[in-house]
Amino acid sequence: MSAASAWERAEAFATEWQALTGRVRLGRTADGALSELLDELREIDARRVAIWDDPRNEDVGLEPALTAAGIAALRWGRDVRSGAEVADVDAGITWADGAVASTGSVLLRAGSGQGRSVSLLPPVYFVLVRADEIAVTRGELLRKLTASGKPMPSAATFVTGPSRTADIEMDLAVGVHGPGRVTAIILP
Amino acid sequence: MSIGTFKERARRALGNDALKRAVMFSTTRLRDGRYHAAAQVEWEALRTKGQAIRKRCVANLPANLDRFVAKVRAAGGYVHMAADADQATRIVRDLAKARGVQRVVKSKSMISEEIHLNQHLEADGIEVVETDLGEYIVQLAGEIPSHIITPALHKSRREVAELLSRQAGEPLDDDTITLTAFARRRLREEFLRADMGITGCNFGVAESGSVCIVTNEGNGRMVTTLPRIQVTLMGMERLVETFEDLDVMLDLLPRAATGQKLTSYVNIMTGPRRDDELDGPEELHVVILDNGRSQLLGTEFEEALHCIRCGACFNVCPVYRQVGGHAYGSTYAGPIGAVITPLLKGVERWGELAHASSLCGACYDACPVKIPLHDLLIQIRRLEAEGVVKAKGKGAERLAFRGWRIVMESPRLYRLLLRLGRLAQRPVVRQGRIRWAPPPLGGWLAGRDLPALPTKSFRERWAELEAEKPQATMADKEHAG
Repeated sequence: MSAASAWERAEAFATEWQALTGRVRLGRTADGALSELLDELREIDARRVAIWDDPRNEDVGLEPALTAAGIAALRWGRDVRSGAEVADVDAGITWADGAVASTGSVLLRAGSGQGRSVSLLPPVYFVLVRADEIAVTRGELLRKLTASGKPMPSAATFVTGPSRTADIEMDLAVGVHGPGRVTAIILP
Repeated sequence: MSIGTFKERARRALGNDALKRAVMFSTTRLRDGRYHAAAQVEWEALRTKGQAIRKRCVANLPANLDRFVAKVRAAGGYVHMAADADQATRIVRDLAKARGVQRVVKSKSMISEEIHLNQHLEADGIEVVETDLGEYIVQLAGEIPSHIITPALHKSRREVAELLSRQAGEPLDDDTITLTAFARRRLREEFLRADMGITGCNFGVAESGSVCIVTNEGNGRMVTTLPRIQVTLMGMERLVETFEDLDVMLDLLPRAATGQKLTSYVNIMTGPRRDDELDGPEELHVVILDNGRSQLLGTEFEEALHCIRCGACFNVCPVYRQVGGHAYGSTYAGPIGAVITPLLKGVERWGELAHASSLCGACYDACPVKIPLHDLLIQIRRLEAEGVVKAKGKGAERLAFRGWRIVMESPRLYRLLLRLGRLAQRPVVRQGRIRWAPPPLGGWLAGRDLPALPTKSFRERWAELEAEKPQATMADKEHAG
């Protein structure tokens, strides 16, 4: 996969994600992506955010960056251990295990450090997406999920934009149970 | 809900202008959404693919079930087979009792409606809260869903505001943002307090024992993330074999249901939470319901089991669009409801629903897996007719058809009756239409009218035209030769 085609897929993903009122920030470098994220967090005046306990956080230096910006980073399994404990944080930040350009979806895998609640209960959600992990179709990710020889995760979730409903007179509203404001941070 | 006949309930619905407006508006929006979404892909090719997958998966259902059950168990889940509604409710009640469950939150499940689970759990003193916004509204109103995708589509925002205001203990504005924000706050408490989450199942994947739930609001994720016990209710026909199959179904279902490329959340769950995980259910129970389904396997009605419950047929049905879901009096409304209700619950009692159709075939055109619903409706009518041939009143019908045959086989008699009809209709023709007739013919005219017989029939006009141009005909023939 060439870098150029990865960024093309990223653009296609961004178009679909934005069509659903999702927000997108592009970082050409990991540091660039982090500063985009911090920008967004300042915009919503975030003080406390929940993050996964995930080796990818260290790869980009997520926790130190948040702490340096004066934001409390609550790590799943260490600082917060249940849905109730992340219900009142300002935002949740997790990693995507790939994304789908054609539908504007991100794939989340549950795991020991990867609590399901972090992407679900806070009102604002940030998902970190590696540009070279953006596939064209959902089928590619499903094949990867099942062909790896490893057992299926307890939960694999495709998230496509914010939580939404049209149950009252077909009038679209976002954030009914899950997050209403969702931002994809795309990084190399 | 099912008091009286379909005709009586339909008549009541037709007299309710607010209901008719709401149903027409919402079904049109959903229908047009599907048109739009279908236009962006190779829709017909996708439908054909979907049909083939459903056909294969249902044809191999016994083997697929065995595989699915083994895989769910291997992943650490429990499987319960329920032959009928009683067994299914018993399984869930016993489980709730054994685990000391006090509070249940539910995401949308038509199976739970089919087995009337809520009232059984409530009878045991368990608090049950529906968390899909539409289902929550319907539950507060003490009703049942009128549409399988948007359960409260018959409710106006003012009605919703009244229902939610009663919950809030204060008057709420009737704008969508206020109402959904209240539901979020209120139901969030329920999610966090509940011991058991009950879900439906859009697809079970046989190769992995996964359960796939497709939602927009996120309540399906809440229900499977926070409570310590997850119960997933699944109709036995809901299986696909592989993730490749699932992928095609996920292309079809959201587009057909709401016109979305994909819903906000597609949750694929395999077993309960692992030992090292901190959220997700500690226990996963999959209850697989038969309730008459297996009897359709290998019959002319097997295709009814192909349904993926998208509701697309509701939105195009000229009957549903007029009367809404409650007129059907059954758990499943619309064309697919008119097919499976008589098949699963008995033709004697429910066969009337097969007549709630104009047989126009719009349902078939809309169906993402190409179920020939209009053919199945005719087959059900046939079953019904065979079953009640000797019943009272049918003798007259038989006599009428015998008379019809005699007339249609004799051109002379036909012409004579036509002339008589022209005379007989005179007192009832108004502006070229017949809108009233004495009983028993009058019933047919209650909801429609009939064009009057013309003063000259086609045969009479033809004869006149022939007489006008005798030469030309011969000349034409020579040229043509």
